[in-house]
Amino acid sequence: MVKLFSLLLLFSGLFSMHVAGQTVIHINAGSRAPYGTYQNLLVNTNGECNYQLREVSGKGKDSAVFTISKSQLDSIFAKADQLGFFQLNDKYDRGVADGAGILIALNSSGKKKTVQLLNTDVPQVNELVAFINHILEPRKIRIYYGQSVPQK
Amino acid sequence: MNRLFLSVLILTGYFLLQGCAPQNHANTIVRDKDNVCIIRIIVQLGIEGTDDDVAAVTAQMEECFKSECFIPCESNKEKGCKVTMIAIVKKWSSLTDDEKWTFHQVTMVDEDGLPSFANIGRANSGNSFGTWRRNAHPHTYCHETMHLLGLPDRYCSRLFNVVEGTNSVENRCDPPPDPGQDCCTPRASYTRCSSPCAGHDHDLMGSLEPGLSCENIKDVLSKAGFGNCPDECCSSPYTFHEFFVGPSYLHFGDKEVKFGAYGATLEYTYPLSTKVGLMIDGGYYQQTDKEDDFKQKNSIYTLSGGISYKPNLFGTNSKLDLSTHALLGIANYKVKSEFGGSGSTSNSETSLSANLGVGLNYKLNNKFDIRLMQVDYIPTFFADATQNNYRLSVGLEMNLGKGH
Repeated sequence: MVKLFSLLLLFSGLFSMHVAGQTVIHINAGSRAPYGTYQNLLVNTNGECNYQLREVSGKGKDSAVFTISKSQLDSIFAKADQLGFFQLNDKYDRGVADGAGILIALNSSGKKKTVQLLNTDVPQVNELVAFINHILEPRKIRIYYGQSVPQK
Repeated sequence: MNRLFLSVLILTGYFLLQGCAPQNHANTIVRDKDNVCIIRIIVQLGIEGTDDDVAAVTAQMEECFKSECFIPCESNKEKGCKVTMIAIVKKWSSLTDDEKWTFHQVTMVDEDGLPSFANIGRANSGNSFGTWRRNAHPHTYCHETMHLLGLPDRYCSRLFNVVEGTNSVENRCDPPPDPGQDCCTPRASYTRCSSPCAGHDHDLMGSLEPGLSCENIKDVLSKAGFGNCPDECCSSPYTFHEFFVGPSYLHFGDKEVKFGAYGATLEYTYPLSTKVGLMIDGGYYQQTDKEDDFKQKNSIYTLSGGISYKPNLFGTNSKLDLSTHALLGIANYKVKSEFGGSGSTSNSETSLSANLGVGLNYKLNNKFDIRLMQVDYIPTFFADATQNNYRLSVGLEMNLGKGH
């Protein structure tokens, strides 16, 4: 009985370590007003994704938990590198009231960078989001903050 | 009769057209030409979209601006200024190049779940812009229009960055502090939160649920320099019968005779309006000379009537009040001389007189004022000469009952 309990404890510990992998991608996109909705996507080192669509008031509207492959996760960091994401400013703000925006935070092997856009477009960010949206397409999830579609 | 009716109709049409005619600014805030107690807010929206968009924005703005706002005076809550609002909504493509400078440019886009936005504008200045979603919440265009009119948002928000493990400030309340000191607490599962600023829970600029309030309109006016209602709009609708009594010093005389006499002055003012009244002024002043057995008593009676006028120099909210008057009347000058036990002589003469004066009152309460000083020039014409007399008075003024 004690052995069984110890085994369960070991498995549950391993399971929680697995689930609680470090978050390496965080995207918050959508409303920057006191109303409207926003999307929240968290991806950890294991490629596990937690997606939510919420109203600013807190009410959940949609959610999904799924996994992307290690190669897909690596390709996002590679794309960010290629686009010069880590060299962008921390914030781009058009200076208008309400509207929408996006926060993208990446941790690429300890190299952390957060970029925020408010009611404006930055081509590198748009292209990175388009790349991520391509990966999320099978899940019918599209990160959207009013961005214009990057030209191919 | 028909001509009269036609004239009235034409005039009414003219004034209606004036009210709806395009203005020179995208935001126009003006006092009515004929009544400074009426403030007009006119906002001009140029819609880049379809005819249906123009109709939708027009409908929402009519609902938004349907109620008038009354700004009461501090001194008299029954009096104040009335604010009316008009939104002139036109299709952007229908505007001439010159007109486009006087309309806010609003781009309509399909509903995509994101909020509309607007650039914060200024009163009586250039145009601004915004992007609005179709089929929006019924107060959305009203909220965004208030941004175009210069109002900021009245909410704070926070964003939690899960990768960095930090809580970043997106919006702060102005003026501070944020509610609960740190606005709201986002978490990994709820990464963005927002809260109305203190005192703005039921404010259209803090959330979309409340409609436009008089406070919002007052904020717009305050930013545009129209925060205070003019004094003339705050005058009391009531006027008072004013009674004044007080001691006076009268300097009487000409080149031949001059002396200073002390006495009392009585005045009554019947109100014709808040500024103009009919005034009666009367007084008795006396001076006595004594030298050994000789004694001479000079007595002067005055009685005059005329117009008083209050220019409202210090404003309605001030406790100080200046009044002026111009009167015509008569003065009686009596000299009585006694020579010890050998008898006495007496002489009395009456002359026309005038009175030009100014008084400064300090309001104690609704019933009583203190007259801090009154100065009168009272020329008389005794003995074929002109006496340039002046009178100084202080005293108490009592305001009784309601006049007009």
